[in-house]
Amino acid sequence: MAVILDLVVQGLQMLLVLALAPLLTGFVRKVKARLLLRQGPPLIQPYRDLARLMRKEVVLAENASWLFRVSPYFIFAATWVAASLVPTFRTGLLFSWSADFIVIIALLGSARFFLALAGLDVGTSFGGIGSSREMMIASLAEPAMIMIVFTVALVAGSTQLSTMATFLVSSEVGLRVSLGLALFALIMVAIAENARIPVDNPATHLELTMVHEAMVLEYSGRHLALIELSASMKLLLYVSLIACLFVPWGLVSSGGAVALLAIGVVAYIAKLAAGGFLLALFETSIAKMRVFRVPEFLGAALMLGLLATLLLFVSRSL
Amino acid sequence: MRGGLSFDIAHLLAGSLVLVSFLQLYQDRLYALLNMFALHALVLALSVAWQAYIQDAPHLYVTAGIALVFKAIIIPVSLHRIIVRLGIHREIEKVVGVGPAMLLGMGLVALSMVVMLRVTAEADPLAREDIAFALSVVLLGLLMMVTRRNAVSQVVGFMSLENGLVLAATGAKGMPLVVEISIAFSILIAFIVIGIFLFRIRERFDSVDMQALDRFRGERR
Amino acid sequence: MPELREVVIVSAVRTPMISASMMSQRDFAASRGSVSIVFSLAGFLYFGLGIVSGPLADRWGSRSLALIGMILTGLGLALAFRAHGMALAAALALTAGLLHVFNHSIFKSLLFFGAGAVLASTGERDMERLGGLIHRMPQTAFVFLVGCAAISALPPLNGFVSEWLTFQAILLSPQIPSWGLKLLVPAVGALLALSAALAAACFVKAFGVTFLGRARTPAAEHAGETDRFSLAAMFFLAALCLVAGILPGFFIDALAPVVQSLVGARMPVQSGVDWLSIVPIAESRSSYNGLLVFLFMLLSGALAAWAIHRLASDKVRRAPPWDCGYPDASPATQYTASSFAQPIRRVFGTVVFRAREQVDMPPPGALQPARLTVEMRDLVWDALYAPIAGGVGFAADRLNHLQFLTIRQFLSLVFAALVLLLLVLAIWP
Repeated sequence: MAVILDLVVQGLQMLLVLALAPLLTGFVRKVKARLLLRQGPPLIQPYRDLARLMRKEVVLAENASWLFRVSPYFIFAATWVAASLVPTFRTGLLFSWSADFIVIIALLGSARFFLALAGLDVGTSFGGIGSSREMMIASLAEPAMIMIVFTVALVAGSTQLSTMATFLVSSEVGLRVSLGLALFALIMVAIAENARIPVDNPATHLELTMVHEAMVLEYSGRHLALIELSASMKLLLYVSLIACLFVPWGLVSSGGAVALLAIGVVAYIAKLAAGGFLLALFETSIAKMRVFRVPEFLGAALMLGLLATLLLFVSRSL
Repeated sequence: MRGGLSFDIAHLLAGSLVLVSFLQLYQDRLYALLNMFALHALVLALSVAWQAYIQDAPHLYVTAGIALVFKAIIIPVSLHRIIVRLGIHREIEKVVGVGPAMLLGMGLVALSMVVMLRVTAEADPLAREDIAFALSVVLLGLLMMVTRRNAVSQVVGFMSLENGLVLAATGAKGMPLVVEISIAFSILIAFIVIGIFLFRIRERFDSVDMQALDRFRGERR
Repeated sequence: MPELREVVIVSAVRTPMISASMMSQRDFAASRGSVSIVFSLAGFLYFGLGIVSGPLADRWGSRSLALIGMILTGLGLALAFRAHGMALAAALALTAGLLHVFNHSIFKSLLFFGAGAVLASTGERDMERLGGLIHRMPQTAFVFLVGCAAISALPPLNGFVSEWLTFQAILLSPQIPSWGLKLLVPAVGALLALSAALAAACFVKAFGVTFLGRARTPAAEHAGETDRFSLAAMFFLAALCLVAGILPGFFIDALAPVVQSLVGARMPVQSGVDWLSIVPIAESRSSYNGLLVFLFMLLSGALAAWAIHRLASDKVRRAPPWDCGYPDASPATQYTASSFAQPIRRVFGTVVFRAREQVDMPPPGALQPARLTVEMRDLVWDALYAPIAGGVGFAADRLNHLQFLTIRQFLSLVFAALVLLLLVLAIWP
């Protein structure tokens, strides 16, 4: 019986991340528009965009290869699997033992690998710009993420996200400096990885200022829909990650009653809304950095993560 | 929880001070640096006020008040005015770039942890880490003075160094007001002297950029 | 820029030097830590070198050095753990290192075979003269892609498993009481992660510039697929990459006797774990199931494809590339390898390799072409290896005189050696 409940919860989680991702994107856009005293598109506009794109015919470049056609599905699969493993409303997901935090980061890394390859596939210079800049950003963002993983894993004693969430919800943690530094670093990395201002502008169509948009310039139709959905899910993943690790109150523990699950879902949606609002506020109050200041930004995140890990290593001996 | 929530908050505030020192190292615009310095002084004021609360030492509230009023408000505003009046070059030229400066900063934090944890072998662990953080702030302030060519940034580095000293002194459970007054006086004198020198240098050399460089900032390699 | 053969010689020389230094410093755990940090630093440097430099096969040597850095980190950690009596952690670190050796041998061989196949088909070693080979050599491209993904440590392939195990070993190291290691190991972890990220960038470049895009020369345009035997070998290695990534438990158990004899402990038995996961330390701490991750990804991708093709649309139309409305017919306008590496070169290379770019832009109306020159120096080579190589050359030149002695002089050499040994025997207490 418990196994069936676990299975249902895992399935519900997978559907929830898929369904809520475009809503989060729409919410962020709406808040940004409102902050700029505009009406903004309706909240469900991303769903309409996805539906429209799915029904359209794909226009492929003449020299696009099978890699170009397969990549959107691969990227979607990797991102969806990663997003299903981050505890959102309940810890103790059924398959959380099969993939821990490091695997989630590596899955996002493989999605990025194939996206960069797809950018190079058609042989235009815009794809090249996007791919090379994306790999530069990745070369700093991934080590910063690994340092954050080390920090939280050293505090919680495990790299499994469910175990980490359970530990952080319990009262044994207290306020740790390293966790504060890790939170700061995680926010910086999340902004960079999700192609948000100040690293990249998700709304731009000026080629020289884009990174993510440049890689997907040649995609259309259902492929583009899958890639946009994956990008939304990645944003949802990062917000859920910050919520699960640093704002874990409201997460239902695995032995809890079924009725508590509803509370968990409501708490999760509230956290998403708060995260989306803060992101929109941050994006409207800061300007985009030029590309070669991004390494300094991410280098600072890497240093913070390294400092947090160093502090934990050193304080073990006390 | 080691030491309870109150000590954790003190620890967190000390760590935030180190974080703000790193943020100061990262800045390359003068107004942003002044804002960071104001934040530095604010975090110091909070930290000292918290220490006053948990140690039940009311004179530390005075220290916190001095830090807040002078260093978080008056000094940044007056430095802002000086910058506008002297027309000081508003971009901070760096001797070492942000990346190497951050690495050096990390090394300094590691060094101060090692030194402090060796020297104070018998004390309470949280106090030791707090003092290690304070030493880190001092060293990072010195690093800022050494790696920046702009006079105002050196003043800011000096001020943040002094903030680190105040943090160390308050954490050590008992800093008489006399010490605070003397430190504050010396800072005031130093500030006046620096201000005078800035005016003199400006009159003499028509610039307060330490290397008297005004090179064209083309694309960095 | 060091040639491939010099790189091979250097790595051949360094390996006995490393093992000699490790043996001779049995008592100091910090020295092992420093060995591992030196080599992970070397790994980072050489990956940087790999991404920013030239021909296809030359850089494989550089990147081998980088992965050797990762292997030696695992070995260094194992020795450090063993010196402090933490046998299980030592077993984990050593298994991670040895498994990485094994994985490295598979995917590096695959990549070399792929480079050879490309060389045989096109006659070109320089990837900036290739491009678009995925259309002409589809099967080689597929297995090369598997090799690139494996070396970039992407799940569910085998490179990821050894990297994961190394990270788990690093997470155990705060328990080591040595101060030097406490400061070094986080830095080593960061450098490892940086190397892995740079590896991914490197191989996106290698695969992308060689196989994707448009053909840059007629040799690439008219390439043909390689023969069946080469393909069979490459497919076998690619399959082995996948199997080692999905079922790593068997390989870990196979390494257990070696680990047992070296550090006196072994990792927990992996083949009995449920669902074929691997559990390096304890269930509660961490576990990884490559098979499930692979199946999940396969199922989600297939489900998405099926659902979309059934319910939405599956029509495709071919058209010229969009390219923002300004398509360029010349394949020379697409990104080259050095342009792909430029952001990373600018971020890391200016400090680590003293990379300097120089642009010669002729005035408007002049007929000569614009030139971009990139100049890089490998500082470690200049400071460390070049003097040694120079010294060896100098000594060799001097000793060359020994080739041209008369018979009497050769006999006197033998006589002198004999007398010397007899003297040592006489004087030695």
